Amino acid sequence: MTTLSSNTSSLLNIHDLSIDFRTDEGLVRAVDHLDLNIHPGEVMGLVGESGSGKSVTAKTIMRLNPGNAMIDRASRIQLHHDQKSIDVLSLRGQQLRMVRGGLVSMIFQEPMASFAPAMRIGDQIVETIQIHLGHDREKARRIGIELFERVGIPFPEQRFDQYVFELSGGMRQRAMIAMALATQPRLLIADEPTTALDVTIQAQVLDLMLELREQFGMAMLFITHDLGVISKIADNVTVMKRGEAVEAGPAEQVLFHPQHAYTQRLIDALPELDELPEPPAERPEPLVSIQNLSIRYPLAGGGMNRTEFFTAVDSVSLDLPRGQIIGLVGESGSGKTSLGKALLGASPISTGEVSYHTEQPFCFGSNKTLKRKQLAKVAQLVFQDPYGSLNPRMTVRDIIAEPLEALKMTRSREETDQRVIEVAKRCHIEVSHLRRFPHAFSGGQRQRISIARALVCTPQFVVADEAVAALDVSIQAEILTLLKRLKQELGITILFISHDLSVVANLCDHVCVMKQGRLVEQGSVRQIFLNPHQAYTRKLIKAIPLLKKREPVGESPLTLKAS
Amino acid sequence: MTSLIARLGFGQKEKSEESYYTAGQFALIRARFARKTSGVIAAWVLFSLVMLGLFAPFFSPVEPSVRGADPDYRRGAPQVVKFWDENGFSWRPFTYTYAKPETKIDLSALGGGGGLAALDALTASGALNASQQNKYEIHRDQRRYLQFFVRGAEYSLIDLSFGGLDLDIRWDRHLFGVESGQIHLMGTDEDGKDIFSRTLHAIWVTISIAIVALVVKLFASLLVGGVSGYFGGKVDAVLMSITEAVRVIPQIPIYLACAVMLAELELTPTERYFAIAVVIGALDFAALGRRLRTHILTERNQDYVLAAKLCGSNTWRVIWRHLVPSFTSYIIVDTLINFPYVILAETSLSFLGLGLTEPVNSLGVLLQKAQDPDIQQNMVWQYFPVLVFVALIMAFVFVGDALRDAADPYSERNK
Repeated sequence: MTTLSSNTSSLLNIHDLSIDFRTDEGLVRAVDHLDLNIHPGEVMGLVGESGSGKSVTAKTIMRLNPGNAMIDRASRIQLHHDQKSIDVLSLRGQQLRMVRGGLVSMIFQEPMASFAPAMRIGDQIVETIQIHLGHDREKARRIGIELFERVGIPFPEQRFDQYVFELSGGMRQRAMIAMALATQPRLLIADEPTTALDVTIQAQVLDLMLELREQFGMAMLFITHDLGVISKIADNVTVMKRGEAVEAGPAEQVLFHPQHAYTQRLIDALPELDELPEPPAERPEPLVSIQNLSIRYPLAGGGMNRTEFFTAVDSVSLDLPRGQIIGLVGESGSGKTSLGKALLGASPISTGEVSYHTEQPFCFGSNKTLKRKQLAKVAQLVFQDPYGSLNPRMTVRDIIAEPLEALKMTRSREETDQRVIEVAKRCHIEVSHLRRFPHAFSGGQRQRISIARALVCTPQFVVADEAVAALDVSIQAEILTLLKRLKQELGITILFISHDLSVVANLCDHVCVMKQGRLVEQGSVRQIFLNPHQAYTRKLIKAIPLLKKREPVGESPLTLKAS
Repeated sequence: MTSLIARLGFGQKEKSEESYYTAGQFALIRARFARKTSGVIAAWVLFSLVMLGLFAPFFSPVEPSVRGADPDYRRGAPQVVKFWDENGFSWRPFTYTYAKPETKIDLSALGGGGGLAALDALTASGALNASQQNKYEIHRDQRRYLQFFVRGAEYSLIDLSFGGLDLDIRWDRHLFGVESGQIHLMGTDEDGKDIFSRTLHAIWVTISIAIVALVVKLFASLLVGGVSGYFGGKVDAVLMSITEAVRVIPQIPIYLACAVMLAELELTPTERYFAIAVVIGALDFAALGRRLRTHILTERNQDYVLAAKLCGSNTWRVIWRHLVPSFTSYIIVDTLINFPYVILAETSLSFLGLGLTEPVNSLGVLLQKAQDPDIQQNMVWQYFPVLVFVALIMAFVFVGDALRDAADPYSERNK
C-alpha cells in the first residue's frame, strides 16, 4: 500500500485507526489499521461499498460514534492547525466542541433529516456562527445570508427564514453546505452528500463544492460509493474494503491504473457508455400498449366542494416493444414509478387504457376493470427495496412459490417445488438456501429472490422499479447481467425504471424519458444517448458522473466517447 | 435442571449458522427470550404456579370446601414442618399434633335465669373473644409424620366430560398428607377450611377466568381492529368512534352495573363466573383493537403486501398468509402482558363483593376475606393468598416484559 508521506505539513493525520463494535454476536471490526493523511486544501475521496467502514471513520474524526464503538488504544487521529497538534481522540467537553463544527464540519447524506424540522434554517446557522465565532446575532445573520448567496441559493434573505421542508432537495443540501462553511472549517467531511439527489442536482452540487474549495481553501474528506463522482472531485483516493484501506494514491493513478484486485473489480463493475448496441432493423411488435394514460391523485386540503388533484402521469401513450428491455428514466417526481405500477394495476388509472397483446389479449383502464389473476400470470414486478418487499416471516421457498399457489398454477406440492427449484437455479439462488428466511440474505441475494418470485409463473412482462438502486456497484453489475441473460433466455420484456442513466445505457434497448408526468422523448438507446432531441434529455445525460479524466468544464463526455 | 442452567446462559452451546438462517419467527423469539435472565426465572415461577393451580387437587392435602373442613381445628395457626427438635432428628419431615382446647363456656348460668348479668359476666371473662378462640395447644410429643402419595378425598384429575365427551379421570392420591388427622401448612379459616388448599384451587379459578376474558377480548379486538385496519375509510371511522366511546366510560362503574345485573339473574356460581369473564373481556377490547388497527394500517402498506397482491393473492390469502403472521407474536405478547390486569379486574370485582363470593375459591374472594379486621388481628396467616397473588402478577409482568423485548425478531434487522 502506498501511504502518503506523513509529516506535520498534513492537516489531518489518522494513524493505525482500529474500531470494533460490540454486538450480540461479539466484536465486529469496522475499521482495521487505517492510515490516512489529508493535506490542507486537498480533496481526499474515500471509496468503498456499504459496510466498508467509510462513515465510521468520518464519524470518529468528529467523535460522533455510537456508544458501542470501541477505538483501539494504538489509534491516533491528529489535526494540525496553527503550528499546533490536536489529539482528537483525547478531546473532551469545550475543546471537543470547538473542533466539531469549528475546525472540522460535516455534511450528511440526508439534508432533510440533518436540520431540526421545527427551527428556521437561518436560526440554526446563526446559532452555529454565534457559538463558534462569537459574533452577535445581527452580524451572524449577515454572514449567514452572504453564505447563502455564495452557495447559490436564490432569494437568500427569504430562504434564510424558511423551514427545511419548504426547500427542495438541492436547496436543502446547499443550505447544509452553507451551514458547514459558516465557521470557516479547515476540513469539511462530506458523507455521501449527493447520493440522495437527482443526477442533475448532483452535478450542480459537485460543481459548487469544487468552487467553494477554491474560495475557502479548505480540505475535504469526500465519502462516496460512486466512483464517477470521485473522479470528478477528488485529488487523492483511498479505497476501503471491510475496514481496511486496500489502495491509496492520486485519483488518476487509482482510478485508471488500479493496482489492487478489489479496486479493479469496482471499476470493471461500472457501467460504461461506449458500447451502445445498434437498434434492430425493424421494431418488434408491441407487447403492451398504453393509450392516453393519466393518473391523478386527490390532494388533501382541497376546497370544500372541489377536490384538487395532483397529476402524476399526464396523458402518456406508449408502445412497449416485445422482447426488449425498455428503460424509463426521469428525475424524482416525474411519474415513472406511477406509470410502471399502473401497468400492473397497482396505481389507480384516471383516464386511458393499458392493453396487453398476449395470446389472449386483454386490456384495462379507467372504464374497464382489471382481472387481477389474468394480469398476474402475464406481468410481474421487481421492487426497489429488497428488504421491505419480501415477507420476513416466510421461507424463501414459500416466497418464490407465492404466485404459483395464489394463482393455483400447479397441481401438487412436488410440482411447485420443482418449479421453484428451477427458477432458483436460473437466478443463481442455491437450492439449499430455499429453506432459509430472508433475514439470512444480503441485499443482492434478496433482489435475486425478488426476481425469482417475479419469474416463477413465467410472465411475459416484468416491471423492475429501481431494482438496482439500493445495491452496491459490484452487486448491481451482477443483477444487471442476470436481467440481460433472462431477457435472452426467456424472451421476456422488461420495463426498467431508473434514475441512473448510466445503468440504463448499459442495459436497455429502448429508452423513454419522462418529465413532470409527461413523456418527453423516446427512442433506441443509441439515439437517445448519442443524439438526444430534447434539451431536457441532453441535460440529464450531461449530468451523469462518468469515470473520466478531468476535462475542461463544459464539454460533454459523450461527444468524446462517440467520436 | 440442566435445561434451566442452559437457559440461564451458563452452558449455552454455539449454534450453527445454518440453524440461525433457517430459524422461523418463534425460534428467534425463543432464542432472544432465553437471553433475558429475569424473564426466564419469572417464566419458571409462572409455570410452577400454573401447574400448582391446574393440578391443585393433587398438590393440596385437604379438600378446600366445607366437606373437607376440619371441625376440630377452626381458626387454626399454620402447622410448622420440621426435621428435628429436642426429641431428635428424623429424615421424614414431621409436624406436631395441634389441638384446640375444649371451649369451657359455661352456658348453664345463662339458662339458669342469670339473665343479662350472667351474659355480662361471660363476656367479661374473655371466653367469647376472638383471640381466645384462636388459642391452640401443641402436643410436642405427638409427632405427625408427613406421608407422600397418600390416599385422601377423591377428585377428578382431568375432567373433559362436556359436550358429549366423557373423559373424567378420577384419583384419590394427594402429594402429601399425614397419617392421622389433617395437615394445615398455612392454617385454617373460621370454618376450618385449609388456607393452603384453598389458595391452590383459587389460582386456577382466577387464571381460567382471565383466559376466558382474554379470549373474548381477543376476538372482539381482532374483529374490530382487523376490519377497521384492513378496510379503512368510513368503516374505520365508524368503528373507531364506537371504540372511543367504549374507552371513555370508566371501568369500575360499568363492572358494578354489570355485577348488579348479574345479581338479579338466577345464576349458579359457575355461570356467574363465566358471565364475569365475558363482561371483563368484552369491555376491554378497545385498547388492543385500536393498536391492532394501527398495526394493520402500517403493515398493509408494506411492499411485501403489495407484492402478494400483484402475485394474484386474493384478500383472504393476503390477510391469512401475510398480515396475520405479522402480528401473532404481537398478540401473544399483548395477551400475556394483559393477564395481570384481567386478574386484577376479577379480584377487584370480587374484592368489592360483586364478583364471585364465598364459598367459591378465587384469589379475589380470598383477598376480600383478608380485609376483615378479625383476620388482620388474629389470623395473619390468611394473608398467604395475597403473597401468592403478588407472585403470580409479578411473574406475569416479568414474562410479558421479556417477551415484548424478544417479540419481533425482525424489527431491528429491517432497518
